[in-house]
Amino acid sequence: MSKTSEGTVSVWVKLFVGFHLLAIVAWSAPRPQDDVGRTFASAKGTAKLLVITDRLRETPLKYYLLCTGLWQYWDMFAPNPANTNDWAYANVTYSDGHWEHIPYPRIETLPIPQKFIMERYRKFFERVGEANEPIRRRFAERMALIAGRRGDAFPFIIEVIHHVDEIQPPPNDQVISRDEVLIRIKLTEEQYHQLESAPGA
Amino acid sequence: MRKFLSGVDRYWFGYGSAEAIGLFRILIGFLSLVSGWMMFIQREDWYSERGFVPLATQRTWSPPLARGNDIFGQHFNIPFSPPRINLLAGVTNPTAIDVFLLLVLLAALLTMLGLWTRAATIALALGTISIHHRNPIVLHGGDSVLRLACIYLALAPSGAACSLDRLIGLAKGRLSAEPKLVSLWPQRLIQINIAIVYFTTVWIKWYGDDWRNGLATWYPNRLGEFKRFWVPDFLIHPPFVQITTYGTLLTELALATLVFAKPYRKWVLLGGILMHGYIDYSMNIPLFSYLMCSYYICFYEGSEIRGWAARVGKKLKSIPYKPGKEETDEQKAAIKAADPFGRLRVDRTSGSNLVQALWKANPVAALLAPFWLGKSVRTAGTTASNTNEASA
Repeated sequence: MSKTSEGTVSVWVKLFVGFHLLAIVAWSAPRPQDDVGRTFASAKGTAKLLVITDRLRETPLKYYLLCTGLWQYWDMFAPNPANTNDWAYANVTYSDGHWEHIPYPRIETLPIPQKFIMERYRKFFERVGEANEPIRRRFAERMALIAGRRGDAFPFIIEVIHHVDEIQPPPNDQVISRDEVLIRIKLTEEQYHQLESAPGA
Repeated sequence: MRKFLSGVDRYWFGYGSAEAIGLFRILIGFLSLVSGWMMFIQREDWYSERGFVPLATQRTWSPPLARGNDIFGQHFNIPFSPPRINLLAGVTNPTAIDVFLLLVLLAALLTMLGLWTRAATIALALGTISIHHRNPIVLHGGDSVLRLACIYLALAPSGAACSLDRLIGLAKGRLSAEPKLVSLWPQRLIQINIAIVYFTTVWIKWYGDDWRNGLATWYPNRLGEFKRFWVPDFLIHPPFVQITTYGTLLTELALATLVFAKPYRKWVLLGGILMHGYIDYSMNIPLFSYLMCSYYICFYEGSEIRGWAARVGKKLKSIPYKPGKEETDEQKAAIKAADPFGRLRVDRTSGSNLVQALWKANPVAALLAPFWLGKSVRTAGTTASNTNEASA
């Protein structure tokens, strides 16, 4: 590929570049909206293009992108930015009845360098909030592990609380806050022991 | 038509110098190092069986790829589900995970330095893809930008310029002193991909009422979990909310379109740097702005970057140095290549020794001089100490 004087590029490289461009454009294009026709005939304007890219995503093209890490979709703050400020904590009740509040990293309260390093915790919780039950359950289990044993007592009931601050549209500068139970699980001693004995640092 | 097609062919597959891709490699290598280090210190939470995302959770989030496909309305299944690239698939041993993450950090360091570049960039790309596929739940837009950059670097002749590989090749006489010409298609792919990032984000935003109504930036500025540094109150209230909302859309659209027109390029990229600078100042989205702005290098040709460095070099003070007695032409070419602004000037009477002079011109090359220049450094050092002894 590198030469000291100008050379020519193989036709295979040219075909690869064309194919790659088609694939990334198809994958990055917006998903057809609900109010837009999903068939080529019923779609209008640019929606026709979206129907084509949507169809392309159903072809084996998807393996090229999803297997190789070339998948991409650029919906940062889109179609609308989030209007809620979310964070979490867990209430852990031990088998002996003792109760503890276990914090999950809350970016707003961290010093600047910590904010930089810990941002993934915010992103992770954002996803957990939208995830299915097994992922939420795992979140609660990990919080139980963070809580740890208290003498002979083990974390028995774990309640993950999702705190939501809802930002009001302008010009209203007020915030409406609420706490919701994201998931509540009960563990037996055996289940907790299994969690503890999983390989980890 | 033939003229147009030949122009397109020249744009995509023409040859040019590799400085742009070399600089891009340095920036992405450094940012991969920072990102990888942050992943490393949080490895128990994100990659271990005791963490938030053990293998079972990862499989729930990203199940095997569907075998079903549709082409022109015809449905068919392929016989197996193709695996995602993931060298951490099935790995639960914490030591193995530690070693893997450390190897990725090493690959990032070597990529940044441009040492064994081809192997390092491929290792970095495979490592980054694996880390991202092992736990996609914690990824944000910046991670995708980083992963794509690593893949493109592995495809590109990334070590052809601004690299230790080049310095070693020059010092050993294996490379010509003339700048290496490389096919520019990987650089073009990087340009087009970043344009796609901006274009599609505007397109998706246009479906949102908040962006259309000019109210979108009202919300992120009030999300405490995103806040970084203090922002003046007037900037987060109308009419500045409308200005920043529409300004973001216009800047992003320009970064997808006008950036390809040379007369506007500089101003569009400057707009992009200002936009990302404000985002990085006010919002806690680690590395994202730095990654996006790193891509901007690729909108310049290598020859333009060389010309710019030469112009800057003329304005900077020259650095006299006393060459070693046995310095070969090959080593001279390597020293010249290690001096990005062309500031080193031979002065046999009052110049400092080579490493001291290089330290002022290019500290990284100076630190690693024994590695790429070996014999010459020793010769220069000996000469310098002999001179000192003589004067003493």
